[in-house]
Amino acid sequence: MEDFAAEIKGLKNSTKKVIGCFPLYPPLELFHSMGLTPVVLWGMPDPEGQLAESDQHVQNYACSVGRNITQLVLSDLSDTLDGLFMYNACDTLRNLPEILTWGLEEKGKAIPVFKMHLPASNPGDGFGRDYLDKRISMLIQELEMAYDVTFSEKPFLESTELYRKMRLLTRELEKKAQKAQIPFDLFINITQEQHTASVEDQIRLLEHHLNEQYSSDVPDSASPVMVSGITPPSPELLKLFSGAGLRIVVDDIAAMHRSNAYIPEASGSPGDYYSDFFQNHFPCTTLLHQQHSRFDVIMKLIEETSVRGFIFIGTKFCEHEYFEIPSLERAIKEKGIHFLALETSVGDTDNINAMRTRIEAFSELLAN
Amino acid sequence: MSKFQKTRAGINLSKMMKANYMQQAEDVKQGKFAVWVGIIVPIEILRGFDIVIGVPENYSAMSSAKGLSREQCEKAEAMGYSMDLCSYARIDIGNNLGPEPDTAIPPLPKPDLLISNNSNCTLLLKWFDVYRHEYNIPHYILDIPFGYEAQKKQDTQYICDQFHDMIATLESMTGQKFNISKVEEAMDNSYEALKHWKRFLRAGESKPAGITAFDSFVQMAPYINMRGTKDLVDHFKILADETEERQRSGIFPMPDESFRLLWDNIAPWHQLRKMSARLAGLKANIVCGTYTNCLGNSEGSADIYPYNGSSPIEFLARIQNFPICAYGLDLRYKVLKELIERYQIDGVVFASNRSCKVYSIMQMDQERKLRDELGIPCVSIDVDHADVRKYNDANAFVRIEALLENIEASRKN
Ligand code: SF4
Ligand code: SF4
Repeated sequence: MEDFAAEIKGLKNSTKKVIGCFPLYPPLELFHSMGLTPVVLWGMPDPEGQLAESDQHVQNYACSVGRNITQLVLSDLSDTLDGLFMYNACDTLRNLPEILTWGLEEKGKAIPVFKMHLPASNPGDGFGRDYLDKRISMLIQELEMAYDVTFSEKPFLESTELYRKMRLLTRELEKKAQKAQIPFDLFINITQEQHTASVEDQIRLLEHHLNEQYSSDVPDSASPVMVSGITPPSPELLKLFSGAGLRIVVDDIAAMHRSNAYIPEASGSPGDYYSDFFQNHFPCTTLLHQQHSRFDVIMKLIEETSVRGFIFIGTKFCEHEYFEIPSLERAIKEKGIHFLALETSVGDTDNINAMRTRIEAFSELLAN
Repeated sequence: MSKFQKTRAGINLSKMMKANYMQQAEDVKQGKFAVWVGIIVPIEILRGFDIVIGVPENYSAMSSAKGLSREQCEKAEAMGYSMDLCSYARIDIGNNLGPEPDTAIPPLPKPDLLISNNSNCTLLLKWFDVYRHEYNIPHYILDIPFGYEAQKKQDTQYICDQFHDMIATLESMTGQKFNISKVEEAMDNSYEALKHWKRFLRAGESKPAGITAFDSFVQMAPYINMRGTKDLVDHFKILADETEERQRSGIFPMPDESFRLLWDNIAPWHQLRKMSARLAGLKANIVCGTYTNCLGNSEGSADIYPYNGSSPIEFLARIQNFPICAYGLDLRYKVLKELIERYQIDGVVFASNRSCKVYSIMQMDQERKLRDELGIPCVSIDVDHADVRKYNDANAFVRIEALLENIEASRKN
């Protein structure tokens, strides 16, 4: 978590204000176009399990993502961030903006906290679209007032072009990872690094890796699997997968494929852009208007990539993920694909040994 | 609690709930269209159609109160539903999708349509979505913006738009014409019923209190699934009249009440009798609960939102944030402060409920602020509102007794 915080502190060296955003799909392009630097506070590893500050505010039955955000904002980043942005996703995050506001106030610190309601009715159509437009306009006004900046269409168009480029490059790198032309664990690290980098640096980072020649040390004979979950598998878990003879060829991870699979066209109109962005977003358990299409999309990915196994990496206490698992498991098994459910928390290394046997047994099942 | 079994209101409650269930089952048998709704879905609007309305959350609470939660949760867990999911959902899923449905409380008649609402929590949408998969029926989602502050005009409009869309959906699915006069009548009934409900709750303000919060937990059940009916008005009138009569005659549930407490969270359904008896032994009365107080209020208020009879749809949109889970820390603090003063509360019990994150995640800050700013003693105890396996009586009472000692000590000072 310290590295993560250090990266964000590094961004402060520029004159731009830094806005910490959560959860995963905030309107980054909008912040960027208004001269701000957005960072996504997500999946920060916490190898030491140091959550002393968070434990004063959030019970231990909240997911590790929420607890880590609280810890990060109230400790390592309490002097760094110039603002926070949050949109609604789950019940754990619902109260977090005010918990963080109160927590910062207790420390004598006050920063603007922006909250946006993302319609759980369809944000791309009808009243959902109208409502999304209004909330985006409200956000623009709030940002203008808080930071003495102004919105205009031209810089917004340029920002959407930049983000489009970044997503296209991420997809390109993802395809290389799927073909084992770059190790999947390196690809995961890069996507993690992207959270704390400006979009310009992300583009440089991606171009650099696309130009490098990598070879994967996972043998071709390894069984192809798909991984799914909110956060990517930890380095320890990745080692277990490759050690057991499993090769990740495609992911349905919220912070990875779900974030980049749909790339909206650049636009000068925030209303048009975000209604397209959310309506056509790759279905995520946290985007409530999309529940009906999630299974179909996953089945399509399974068919396209010919995986033999599906590994669900559950973030402990994440209800959004856990509700769909029994039905999803059944649907996947009906396709003749093997299914394994693991449960973990961000930075959790304690349970690795317990998972080893299950992963090895799963791999044997696939090999046979 | 047990006292209410012998009261007119207690007898009427059982009779009315049973009759309502039987009628629904019969109506479904006769081929009536059935809808399952989340508890905050404005069923007054659905009264504009001739349909059957089932409320799974109510069903789960009743199952837990009847001691059936363990078995039903285990059925859901055996199907792969994590033990960390809300126990209401596990009970309901266990009974509906598990191997054998319960005979003590038969499952609700199967629905043709699901209507969920993310006002109290977003988890409910995911829970209902399980049935969308399993029963292959449509799931209509009502999206209610969370209340960090008073509901804005644009939010009310957005909710109204959804209500109209829901009406159109129901018209096309049922083939019925929506009847607004039935909704007006239902809204009048609900508002009348709420006024009696508030009169009943006010009995808790006197010293000693005329009720315990446990009475209100039990009696709120019909508000959830019988809103809009004349039966509900009549029932709450009996309840409030009888409670006032008992007060006038000097009958109090805890005449030697020495500690007046406030309960923050959903009722511990599996503990109603045991907990109220044990508290009585300690002369501690929970006189008010945030859970039962919020019915019909606007966000952040301890009182019902006034209805002038002119536009039921807009009114129902305006009060969609009434459940205390549907608004944030600042507004919740405002209500807690108001209730503490109104009910002359000595101490607050925060029930930290693993099953209901939306109610619980924020209590630590709330507790600190109440202690710092109002100097009121508070305690946090671990409770699961419906899964008895996640509750430890001894641990809870060690902490409650410490709270009472703390109150004693602060009185001496
Ligand atoms: S992991 Fe799940 S519970 Fe945690 S913040 Fe994300 S969506 Fe919410
Ligand atoms: S999480 Fe809480 S509000 Fe949601 S259904 Fe469960 S008990 Fe009700």
